[in-house]
Amino acid sequence: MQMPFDSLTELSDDALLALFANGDAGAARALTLRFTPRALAHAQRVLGDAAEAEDVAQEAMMRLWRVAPEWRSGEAQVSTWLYRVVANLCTDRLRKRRTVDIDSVPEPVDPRLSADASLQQQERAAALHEALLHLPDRQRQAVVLRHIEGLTNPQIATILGVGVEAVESLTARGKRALGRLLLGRRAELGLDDDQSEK
Amino acid sequence: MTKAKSDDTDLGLYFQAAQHQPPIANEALLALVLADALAAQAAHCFPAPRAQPAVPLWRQLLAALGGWQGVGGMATAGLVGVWLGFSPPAGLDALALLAPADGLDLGQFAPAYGLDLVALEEG
Repeated sequence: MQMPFDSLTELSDDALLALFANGDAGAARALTLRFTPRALAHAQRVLGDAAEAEDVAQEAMMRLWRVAPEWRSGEAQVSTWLYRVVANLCTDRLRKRRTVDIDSVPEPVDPRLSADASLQQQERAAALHEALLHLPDRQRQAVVLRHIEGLTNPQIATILGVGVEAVESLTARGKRALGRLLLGRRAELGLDDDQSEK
Repeated sequence: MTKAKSDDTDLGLYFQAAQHQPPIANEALLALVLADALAAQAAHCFPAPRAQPAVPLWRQLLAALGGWQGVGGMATAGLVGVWLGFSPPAGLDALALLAPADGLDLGQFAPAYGLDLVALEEG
């Protein structure tokens, strides 16, 4: 049965996926709008390259479409499953990059930032993205998932295929490294002012 | 404020900035993903019909001859013919002796049409 699109946006991920598997085109659209931005955001933050991130997002979504008919509701969260696919695709691409040029770090990302973000916010986000690219892959993924995507440590453990303690270690080391990388840019990014206001 | 807390606050501000400015999926990407979705959906829900396997020649011949019954009848008739050729019944020889030595004429079997045949031959 076709349902109005508005009512589909209220449905759970599992329910939408079941509708999709039954041929509901509205569910296909709702899932596309719900998950593509998340897949793209994670891929872009990890890879630092917009074009590659789009390829990864499209491939991850394609895998979701393929798995939909066999999806067992309640066994796993769709979002966690998708993040895991994206994480693995990113790791594959980063490995290939290393085989080409071990020192290659992409140019800072050009995220399509929302127009209403303040210039300072944009500069801070850009500085963070640039610093993230200097972290090892696993640390970068853990930090992005924990502190930007806002996932829990157990979810990240599932996505990265490691234990919760390993996730805690990865995020802690990642944050320390980021602190060092961003230390020299505090004044430039207006952080001295922020601290003095507190 | 200790240095560690200050660093955490700093990073918190960076993370906050990044959270508020997620990379935005453009329309072209969304259209590609949706097209993939609809194609995959069509493949799941309406799989292409499987190609019918080619019918072997012997089955086509069998059907043309009326199936197993038709072929059985033909085989039986053939065997009877062969059997008659090798071992004709006794009465068949006597019947053969009745035929003239120079062969049979069509008129003998259709006397009523004899004149007509002659007329046709003579124009």
